[in-house]
Amino acid sequence: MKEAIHQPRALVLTETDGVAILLDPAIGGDTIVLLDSGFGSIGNVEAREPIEPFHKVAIRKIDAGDSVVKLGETIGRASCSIARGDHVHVHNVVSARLS
Amino acid sequence: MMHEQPFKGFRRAEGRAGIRNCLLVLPVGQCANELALACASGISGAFPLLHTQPCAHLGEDNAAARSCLVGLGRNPNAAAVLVVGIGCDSISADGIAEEIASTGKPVEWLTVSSCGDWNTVIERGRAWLATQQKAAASLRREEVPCSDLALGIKCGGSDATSAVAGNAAIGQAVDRLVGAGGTVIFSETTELIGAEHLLMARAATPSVRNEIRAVVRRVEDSILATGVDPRGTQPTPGNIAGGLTTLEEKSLGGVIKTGSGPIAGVFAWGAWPERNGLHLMDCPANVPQLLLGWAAAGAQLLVFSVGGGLPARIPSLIGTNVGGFPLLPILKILSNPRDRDVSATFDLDASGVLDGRESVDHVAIRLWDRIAATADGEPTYLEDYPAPAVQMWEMLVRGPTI
Repeated sequence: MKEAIHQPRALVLTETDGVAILLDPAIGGDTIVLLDSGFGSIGNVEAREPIEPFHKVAIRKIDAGDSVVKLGETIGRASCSIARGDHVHVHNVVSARLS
Repeated sequence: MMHEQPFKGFRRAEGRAGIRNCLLVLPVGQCANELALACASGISGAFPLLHTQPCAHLGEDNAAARSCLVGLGRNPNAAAVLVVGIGCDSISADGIAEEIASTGKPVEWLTVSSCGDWNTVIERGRAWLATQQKAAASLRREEVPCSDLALGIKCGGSDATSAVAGNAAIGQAVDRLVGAGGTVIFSETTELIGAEHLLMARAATPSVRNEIRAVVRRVEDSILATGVDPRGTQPTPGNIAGGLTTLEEKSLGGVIKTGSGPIAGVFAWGAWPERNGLHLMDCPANVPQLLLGWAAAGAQLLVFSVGGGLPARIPSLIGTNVGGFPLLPILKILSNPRDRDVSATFDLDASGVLDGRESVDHVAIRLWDRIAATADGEPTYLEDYPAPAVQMWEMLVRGPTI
């Protein structure tokens, strides 16, 4: 039996961003297609775990303590090392301001 | 200044034109809320604005509440204002009425003290409102420049789609209105933490820059001073479920709706901005306080950007138990395509941006047209929403209640 090909999409909002916003649900092993804000394909990343739509996937490695950048701005700091393809959320990012 | 089409509003004796004719019934304190309700009951167009002002607030809070009440009466959407009180209130009904009357609009004040008893206030109040109802019905809309528009902007139920769709479109509409000489007011100081540097860079003057920094620092310090970890509160559990991780991320998405233009000023809750342009109203992210603040600052219309998820499933006004606030019509915008099945409870569906079906530029044009139509009199979704409950609107309190 042939498995359905999962190619969820994710938006990279700004060139300098380290994360992309999932537009479709992803499961571990999916090849996520990365889109720029004009919905043109700019590459892909392999999901390492399930990620819900509109949550973030790391599109590059982010070391513990480094800034997590979205919309070209720091949205927090990595609380542990984040690999490319990881779900980026409250379990691995903390506010740089209120913590 | 960019020229835009005029809208059709109700010219007032002074100041900006209104987009609605509200018969505002304004109690000066919460002891008079029942009077306001009884005066307005069954009178179409009458809005009893119930609120939480007690007798036991101190100087600064009382002054802000007083200024708020005057501003609510001055709001261009109020065609006539009935001020009611007991007579022993900490804010005097006659004083408020006198200041509102300086706008030239019809104003009456009645208290238990001036009328002799409780029921007489209600009888006289109802008779006065009936007269004003007839007068308001004879008012006709006229062409008014869109520089007369003052817009409040807010997000609620934010998720990761808000910044990409609804807020991005609002930002373009804001630039357009400010470019045409109009006024836009954003607020929710807590939700500027982490994004204040972007706003400071847009301050029209060094003093506005300092004020932006000061109001954000004050709210941040007040949170840290509690010693309580704010995570799970800001961002809210709903925001986190929607993919927002930190307050900074929420803030960065939120400020997108302020557009790209200069910030003309910062003003305190309860005050009225001195000039047109883009302003920050210093108020926490609490809807019953925010709506009072916007209306008291003269806004005629609020654009409310909703992300998605469970908050998008609330058909009424998020953050309250009612459908809306008659003095300030509200346009609801949806951003998340997964909630498109409830888009009928919104005035504008911006979610096409998230699946590449519609550009932000195009949504912004539709939003502008919807703002113009609302200003011309087209009812919003919430204006038609049945409201079985009663809402107490909240005065902003910074000091102790004694």
